[in-house]
Amino acid sequence: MVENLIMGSILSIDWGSVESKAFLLDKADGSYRLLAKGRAPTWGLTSEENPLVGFREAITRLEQAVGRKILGEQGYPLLPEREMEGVDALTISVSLAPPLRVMLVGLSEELSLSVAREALHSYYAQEVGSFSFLGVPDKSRRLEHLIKTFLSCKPDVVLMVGGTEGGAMEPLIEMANMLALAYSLWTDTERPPVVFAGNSAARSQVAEILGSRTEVRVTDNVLPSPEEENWGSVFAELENLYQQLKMSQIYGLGPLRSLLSVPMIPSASSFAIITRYLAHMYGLEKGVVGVDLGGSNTTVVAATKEHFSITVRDELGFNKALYFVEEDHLENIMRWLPFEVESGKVAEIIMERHLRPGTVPVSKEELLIEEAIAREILREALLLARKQWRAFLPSPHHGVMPPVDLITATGGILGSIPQEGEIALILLDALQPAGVVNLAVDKLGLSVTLGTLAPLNTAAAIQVLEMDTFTRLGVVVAPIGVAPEGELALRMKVSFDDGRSLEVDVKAGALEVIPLPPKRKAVLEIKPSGYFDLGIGAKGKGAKVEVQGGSLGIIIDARGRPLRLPPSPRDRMEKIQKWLWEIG
Amino acid sequence: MMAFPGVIRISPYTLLRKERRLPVMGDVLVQPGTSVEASQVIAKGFLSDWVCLDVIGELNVSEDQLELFLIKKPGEEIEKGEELAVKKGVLPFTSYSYISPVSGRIVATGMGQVIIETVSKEVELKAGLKGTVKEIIPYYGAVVEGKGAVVETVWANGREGQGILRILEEGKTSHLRADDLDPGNRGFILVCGGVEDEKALEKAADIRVAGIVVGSLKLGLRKKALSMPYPIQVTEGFGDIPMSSIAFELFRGYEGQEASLLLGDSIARRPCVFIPVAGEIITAEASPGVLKVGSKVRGSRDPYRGKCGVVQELPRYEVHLESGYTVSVARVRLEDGEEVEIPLSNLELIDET
Repeated sequence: MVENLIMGSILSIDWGSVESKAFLLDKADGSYRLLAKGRAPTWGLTSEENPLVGFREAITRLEQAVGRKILGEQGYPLLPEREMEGVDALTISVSLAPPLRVMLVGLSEELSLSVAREALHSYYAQEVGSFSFLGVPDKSRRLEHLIKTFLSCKPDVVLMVGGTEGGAMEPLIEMANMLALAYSLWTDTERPPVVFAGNSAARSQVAEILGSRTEVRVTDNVLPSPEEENWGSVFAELENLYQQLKMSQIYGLGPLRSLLSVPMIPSASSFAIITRYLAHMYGLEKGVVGVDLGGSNTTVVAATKEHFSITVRDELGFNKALYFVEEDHLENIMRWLPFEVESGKVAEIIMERHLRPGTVPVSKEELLIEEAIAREILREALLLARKQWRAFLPSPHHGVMPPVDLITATGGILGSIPQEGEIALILLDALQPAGVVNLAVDKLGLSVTLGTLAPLNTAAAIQVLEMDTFTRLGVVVAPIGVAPEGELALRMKVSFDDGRSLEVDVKAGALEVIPLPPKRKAVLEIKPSGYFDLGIGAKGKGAKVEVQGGSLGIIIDARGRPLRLPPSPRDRMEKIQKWLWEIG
Repeated sequence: MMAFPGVIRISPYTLLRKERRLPVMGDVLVQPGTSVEASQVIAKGFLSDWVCLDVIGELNVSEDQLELFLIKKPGEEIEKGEELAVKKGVLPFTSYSYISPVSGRIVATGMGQVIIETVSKEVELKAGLKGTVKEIIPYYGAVVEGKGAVVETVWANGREGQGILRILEEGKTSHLRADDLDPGNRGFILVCGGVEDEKALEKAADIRVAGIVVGSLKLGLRKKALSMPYPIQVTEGFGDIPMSSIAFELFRGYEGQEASLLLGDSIARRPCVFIPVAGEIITAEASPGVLKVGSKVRGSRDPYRGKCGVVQELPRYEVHLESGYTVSVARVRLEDGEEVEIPLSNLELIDET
């Protein structure tokens, strides 16, 4: 393992589609710390289509903050550091490249293509066309449809799927022959590679048929059996192809590439590395879920010590929430507001965030609307992500989040919300953590770029991760189940590390906060009522756990899982206002 | 909280470079240095379609026999009604022909099928703006540079066009109504505050206006606007906000002149309205806009969205907003004389260069 190659100062950049962030890391008292940061909009500082303007401005702001010259005359970082100028290493995570344009080719719309469609969400990818073999019965029309779709949508990649393990191969072979014929008509120089993720028995024949036309990459079957889905190796191929085909096209990358201390990696991959680190570093047996609600996309990573999964919803970023306007889903957003508002106002804010991503809400009403949008984006992203975790993060209750050890959150909107209680409430409402779960927020967005440091200086990544990255919000106690409001949900004894203790009865429907400052500990003896399970798999079964404090403390969320909002608008608005007050 | 104003170009006289590109490979008809008019075609190409013909099915032969019966081979042209394949019958002097139902070029055979590429549509690429060809993009188009006034806008409906600027009578706050439109508006780019309803958009299509530029568009009209056959651009945003006076006054200064409505491209992200103006320009390298006392700015978020003013002071202190954010602000004197503090993030610096 290559480790600790660089021992000096490190400039770590997250080059996002909305914002560029520059972080200066260096040793202070023997361990790496974040010394300064600078950020700037990636676009919009000039009329020019040049992301280097934002990149450089973020570093300039960092220079101003730290009082040190980092950029050279040519506008690129000076390496290595000399006489307090420049830095010793440069790492970059990037999410500003456009997504991979993928054409799906599969046997059936219902099985093959629907699974492939979900697999696409494992990375920065968008569907630009699809072909279903069984969707067109006539042979000529079928071939014609494939050719027209392929040549008109001009994909970067073709993802070919179909067949379960042990199933018939003939249709797949015929489909490969048709695709080979379509490839023979491709006139541009670069032919899109094929990723074959279908019946493994057909791999060699498919590779042989298509291999003379284009590059063929083979992965595990996305649908080994009708009951089982497997996206892991498709993710790995999409990750490789994204780096190879899309990241290489970023403007101004040439000179930067020669300065990089380790290869540039996509932000989602970097975030996944850090989320996996957390599971390993702290031995979190039940796992970690990390969410990055970015401007252009939302990444959800789930990791245990052995497994991980990643979902990138490319069409679901905070500044790209047009989906809710287009699909008329504004009601879903409005249900999280403690006041009445016209749907047009919500739609207007969504559109304005799309047109002008960097603005801040002035009124409380606008902030709460933005927070409601954030909730719905996270809920949407989580729905799909959870399907991927089923194999290694099973939930004891249908439709309920598995009881993980830690949830981390980052991203422009979550990082900027001034009230930490409101950040916590967004996570509680959208993710609905279950059991006893720690909550942490990365307000600066360091967790998105620290993964780039891993091959360069693992110790530095860990030190900065531990010291400067996360703000602990606290620990959530969220029993699973539903009970009539007012019934006892749980009884809890809190034994603080200063010798004090407290006993509380919490009623169903309540949201309560018991302060426990950061770096303080307490032991919780929790006894849920017969309505509720603490994530152990048995209703009424208690647990004793040691917990750490946070800026909020111990949050007891007895609103039930799954969370149900009151059906009457008036009751719902009152409840939501009450929850906002409760959590501060 | 550190913040930056965005930059929006509303310039009475500047250089505009646009990348003009065909969607398919074709022929470029101009050379570097060629002077072009906005409506001049600078490249042409053909959109193809493909037809698969089930020749073996019709002739009742096996896949591997297809080549034996084909009269025309891949690479050859064929006319509609022409024989593509012939199979001799069992009886003397009998034969079965396969007649091509389309005209085109045979591009491939395989799986018993003959694939013919047909031309579905000719596509022409216009210069888009009056100017000079600076660079050729081989097989696809060119970079065209023009001198004139530019108003960058925040939204366009995906269409481009040219026409004569005409300001609606009531000015920057007026809403275009169907009743305002008569055939006399044909070929004009109408400038106004907003659009009343779908009927107005439809009527504008009926009388064939060259385009519409509005301050804001009601969100409910967005879908309709996207389906219109003429270009529509929005200078401020969605909702009901008047056109900023700086944009409106610029348009008024050029009323009666030809203008182009252009989309964003790989050189400049935003759509824009371009009005060619003769003269010489000294250009500077693009750099992030610097906000200073005296800078012209425009509000980009409520409550000052679309309002223009001049920066009076950049205070060192930060301001706590009702939303809870603590932000750097600019003290701005708005056009009505009111002085207000606006978060830097909610400002656009007007680039007049």
